[in-house]
Amino acid sequence: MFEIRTPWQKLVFALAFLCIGLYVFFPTYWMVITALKPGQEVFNPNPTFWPRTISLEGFREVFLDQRIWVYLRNSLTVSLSSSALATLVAAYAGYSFSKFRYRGRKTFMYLVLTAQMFPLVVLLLTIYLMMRTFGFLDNYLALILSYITFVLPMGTWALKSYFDQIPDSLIESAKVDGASRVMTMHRIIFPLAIPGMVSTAIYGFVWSWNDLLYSLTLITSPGKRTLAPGLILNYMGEFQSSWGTMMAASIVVSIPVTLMFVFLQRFFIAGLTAGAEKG
Amino acid sequence: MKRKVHSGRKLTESQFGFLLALPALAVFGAIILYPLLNSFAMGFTNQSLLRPGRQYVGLLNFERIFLDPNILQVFVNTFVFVACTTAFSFSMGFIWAMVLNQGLRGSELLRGITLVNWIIPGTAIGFLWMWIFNGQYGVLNALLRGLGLIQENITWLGRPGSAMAAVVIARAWQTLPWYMAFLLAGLQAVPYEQVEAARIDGASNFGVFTRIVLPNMKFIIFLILILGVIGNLQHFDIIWVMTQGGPAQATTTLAVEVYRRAFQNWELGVAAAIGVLWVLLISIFAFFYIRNLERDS
Amino acid sequence: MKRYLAVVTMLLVLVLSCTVGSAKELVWSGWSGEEAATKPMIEKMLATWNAEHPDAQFAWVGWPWGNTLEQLIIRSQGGEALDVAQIDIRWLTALAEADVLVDLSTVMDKAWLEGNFEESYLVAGQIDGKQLGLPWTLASIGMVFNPSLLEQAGVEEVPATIAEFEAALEALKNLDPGIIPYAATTKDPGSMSADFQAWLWTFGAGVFDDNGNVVINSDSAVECLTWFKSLLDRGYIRMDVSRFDARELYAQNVVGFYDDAVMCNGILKTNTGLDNVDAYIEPMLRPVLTDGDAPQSKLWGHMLVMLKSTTDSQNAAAFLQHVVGEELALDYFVQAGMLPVVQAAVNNPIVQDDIWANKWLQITVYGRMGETEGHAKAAQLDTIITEEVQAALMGSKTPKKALDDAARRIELAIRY
Repeated sequence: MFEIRTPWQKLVFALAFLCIGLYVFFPTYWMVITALKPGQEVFNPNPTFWPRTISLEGFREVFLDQRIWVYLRNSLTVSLSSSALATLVAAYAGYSFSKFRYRGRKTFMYLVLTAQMFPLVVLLLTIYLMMRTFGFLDNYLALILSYITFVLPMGTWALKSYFDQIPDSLIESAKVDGASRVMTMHRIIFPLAIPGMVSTAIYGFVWSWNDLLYSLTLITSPGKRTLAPGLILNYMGEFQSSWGTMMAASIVVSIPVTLMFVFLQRFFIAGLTAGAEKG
Repeated sequence: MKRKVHSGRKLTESQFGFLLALPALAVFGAIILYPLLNSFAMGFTNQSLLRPGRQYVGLLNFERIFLDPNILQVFVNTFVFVACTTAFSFSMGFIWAMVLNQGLRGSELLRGITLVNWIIPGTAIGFLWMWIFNGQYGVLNALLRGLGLIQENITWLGRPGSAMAAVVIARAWQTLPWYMAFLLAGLQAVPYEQVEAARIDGASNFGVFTRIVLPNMKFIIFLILILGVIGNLQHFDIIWVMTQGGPAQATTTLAVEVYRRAFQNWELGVAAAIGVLWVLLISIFAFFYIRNLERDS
Repeated sequence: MKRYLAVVTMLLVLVLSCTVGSAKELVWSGWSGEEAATKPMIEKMLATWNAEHPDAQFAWVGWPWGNTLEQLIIRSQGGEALDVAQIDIRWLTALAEADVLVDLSTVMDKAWLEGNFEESYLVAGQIDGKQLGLPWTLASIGMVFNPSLLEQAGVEEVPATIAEFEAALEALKNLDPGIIPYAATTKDPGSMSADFQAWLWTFGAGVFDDNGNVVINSDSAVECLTWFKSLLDRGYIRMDVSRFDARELYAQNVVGFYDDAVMCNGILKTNTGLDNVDAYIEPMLRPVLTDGDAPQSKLWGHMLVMLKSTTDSQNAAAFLQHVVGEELALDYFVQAGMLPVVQAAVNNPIVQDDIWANKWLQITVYGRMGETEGHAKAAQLDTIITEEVQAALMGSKTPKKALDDAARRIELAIRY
């Protein structure tokens, strides 16, 4: 798109590449390197950029720490269920908004859209009291339900615009062929929207995976804790100086999502591209 | 399943459509709309985390908020945090997207690795940047000392300006890949013929950027900036991990302040009142967002 | 369609399985089970009880110290399993205000209480005549110094006045710029407010006067904060230091002085892996402003409480008595340096003849309750004091302005 011919252009390009590349990649590199350093080398006021001796002590500690695995399992359960549920609900709603006309549709659509701006922490004040009333505190259910909040507005809109691109003629011809509305939706339209759904699900998954605010408040037992508060409550108190282990733990908890992401990236990018082309 | 099909036949087209939206409607009402309205109401009561029940107290909570000598700072902090993270992350993400869009060998791979930053849990990102900014053993101090830019170590997280800068840099690092992904998709959708035509007319890189790229990407830029601002306004975890809003409230944004008032001071009413002010503030923002969307569609 | 049904069914099963609880256990909460120096003892206390009471098993649910009060309040409000807890003595008022604590005199034999604890210790756990807290360990926050570093710096006498203290700090700084002469806490409200109050008292100032008026912006308080800020300006103290940071840095042998509670030598042993740390840590009286002043220190301690959410107050009471019992109390003292309060353990030669404990006793003689502690909003007041002192330290407010703001915010907090 841009020409890089003159030395000046080359310089600007190289500078942009180096500076941002450093900003983007160096921290991750530093995380890995710190995790691989033995204890004393971490506390060197003149840090080494390549460990003198590679030590897997930090990783060993993390792998032997039962709690990390419990948190991982909890986070997976909660994030998978909430993102699947939210995507399902959002898909029906998105389809409805895109292909049907009824009274109140527009009001509701914009209400859902505005919902992204509602401060989550303000919602939490009431959600906490609600969950307390229903006895859902310290229960995965509280998290699963409230995480739907994160994904529903964005997901509904993303999927609505996805369905918008699917021509109505497809539905019409299915109708002519005698397919019921339910069947048309599930067999013909939804399969076409799979990239959109996957990217919505990833979006929801990442958000619930990251959440600290809700899980810090709605869950208090170590056995049900998810990753974000788990990491904090494990390493922010007394152990906040064991940086090597903290970095190792950070890497370990990032691996499952990274793998999943690498696997599904194709869909995600496709979903994004579709959204971008629309504009 | 059979029965559903039959009953489906009896419904009119719009009834069926409404039915599909019903689950979303129910969820929305129960865990978004009701909590919002109830939290609003809470702002006018003395609801506490320590005791059940609440009494209406009028504008008392608001009076307390306005009498607090530091409340203005919280709003200013929020503004600074949101503006700086969004602007910094967006521009870095945009440049990075353009760099990767040049079609250099390995760009695909770099794009993939860049996206990894976005999915590292925020808590872990907080840890990482805390470690980089560490006043005693941090690599940033070591680098700056090595370059001769500073003589003595700086406690980055222990000074108001640098603590804010630190959380901004960390948060921007987290969101940069997200901007990059959208902008890269947008760049790839820019019609190539237009670029070619401009080149023939003798346009420079800058000309191509302002005359072709920007106009074509207007909508997506607008969209991600809005979403970015919303996300940063909500942001909690990196700040909480790195500074807990400190030192001396220098990094306390609205999200942190509401959380602290509610779950550390146990004054749900006051927290909710701040929430009311917050929502009023963003409604102005929401108004423009929706108007713009409506115009575009 | 079948596929979607399968997905939905799977999700339902998943969600349902989340709601099915595990076998019922009694829950003990706190933070000591999360810290390396005390964790083995907490485990031992649980194990010895659980071995004898198969029908009333206790399990530990812990958080880091800084999160415990918050999580305890949240948990006690939510109707989740919670029977007994370890608390910091200054949280008692807030928990009493929340009305979640059981009056222990209703579940424990009065004669047992009076026979095992000194009157003053029991009173510390009483609010409105109710015995809400059972004293577990009680001492004070004092100052410790690093004899080996001080010797290297040429400081021969333990500083007794502020002037001598400043001279010692200067000497340490000159010894090696990498040294933090005084690792004062400057980060979290949990420690900083209390530590700063001890200096306030040293300067003859305070947070409240005898009538409960806020006087934290008095002239002597401003003088104190101005002095404290001068320590930072001269490079004697650092920003962004929590108690944990201070302990860790101390273990790296780069700290001259810092404030901590009686069990800090046990923590130093854990952090350094050394068996004998006597050459590196020694308690001292806090320096005074002018010769002849009383050296200040803040009372510190842990209590055990029973929560109203308990499902088995009989066993919960017996469990608390088990935990404070002589044998475990002595063990806790030997292993982790926690000074016991139960009479039999206090009188035991192991405690009576302990050099460290005796030295610390001289500090505790001067101990007074932190001034925020009588308030239900203690945590909020501590946060206010911390934030305003930080603002002054960092120069974003003058000491006078910071303390004026602190006074205003404290008044607002307690008025409503």
